[in-house]
Amino acid sequence: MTIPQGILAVFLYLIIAFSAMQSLVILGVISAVVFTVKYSGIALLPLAILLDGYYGAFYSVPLFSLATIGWYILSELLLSRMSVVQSKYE
Amino acid sequence: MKVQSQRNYKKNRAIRITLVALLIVGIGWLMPAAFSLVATVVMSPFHATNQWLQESSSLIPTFFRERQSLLGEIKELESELQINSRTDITQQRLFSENNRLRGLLGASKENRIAAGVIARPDTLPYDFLQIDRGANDGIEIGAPVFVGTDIVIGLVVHTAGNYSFVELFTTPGFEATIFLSGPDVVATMQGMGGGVARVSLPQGISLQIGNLVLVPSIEPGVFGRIAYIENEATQPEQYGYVTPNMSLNSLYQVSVGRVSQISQSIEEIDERVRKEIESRLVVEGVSLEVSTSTDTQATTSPDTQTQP
Repeated sequence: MTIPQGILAVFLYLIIAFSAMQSLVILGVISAVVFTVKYSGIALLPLAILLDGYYGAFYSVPLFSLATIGWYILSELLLSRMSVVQSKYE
Repeated sequence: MKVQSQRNYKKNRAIRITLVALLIVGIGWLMPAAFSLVATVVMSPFHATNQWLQESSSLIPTFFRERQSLLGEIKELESELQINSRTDITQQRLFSENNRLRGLLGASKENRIAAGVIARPDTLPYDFLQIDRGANDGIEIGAPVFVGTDIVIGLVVHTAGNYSFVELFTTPGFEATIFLSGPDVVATMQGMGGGVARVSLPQGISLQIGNLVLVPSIEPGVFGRIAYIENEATQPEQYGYVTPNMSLNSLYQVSVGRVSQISQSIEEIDERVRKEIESRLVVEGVSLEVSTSTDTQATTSPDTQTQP
């Protein structure tokens, strides 16, 4: 990862965090998708767990964390298939 | 030696990460207070920034806040506008309906009955209408039928309990004495059928398209205008063809007057014709301006002169 890529990753990560805190759903979802495709969905997991802790979601059901885990599994499946198709035609 | 492929490695890694994440979530679910404490400490810079975005009067947070509030206001106003436009349409409909019904019922001194048209010449023989009011509602045979305030279109010829039939002036064989405004002559109008009536006049009378046809025996009684003129110099008569001012298909409400509105005496009809002619002698906008100020010198001088 180069320095500009790292800066972009941090910037996207912050956008995702503040979008979640400001309830900017569309911006948050788009940023999360871009982040997952360009980097990985792993980094989103601690953020989701922290946000759930911050909002006290662990007192009931931490939906944000569970949704992010689901999104991580889905993204890993899709990205692995995409890379297989890509390598086939390389 | 056992070799693991890269694909399997990634798969196992994803499974491990998922399990660890689920484990952390599980622990958090079991110890929510501890997790909240940790999250609050870790998220404190985010919290401060978030508060700054929400409450600061700096340029960037204000810009975002105002943008959001403006977007919300636009949405709210759009929904209000939609509601208002619907209300406006309802008001307009009620207003036009009110005007139409008032027009149908005419002046307050007349006692008219509003009726809906339930059959027209495409389902009935031409030049007949069926209306949804009958003898039970006070409809009399021979009563004039109006459209609007003063346009008379025909007479009631049959009444049942709940419906009536109206014969239009354009029915073949129907005759009525009319007054033709313009050449100012009284003539006989004959129904020709098909929504057309004919006025016969001797040659030499200046008949023009657009001349108003009045039925003086019915008050008020405008029938229509001359729509076409048939004038052959070799013929002793000229004909003006009259059509009502509205399409029969557009009729859906009429008002029915009383038989007493049809005059029986010739004197009364003559009087109405004379009034119609006299009404056109008054030309609006042409009048001498009379000064209302009093010239004391001019008014007092003759008196002073006559006094010894």
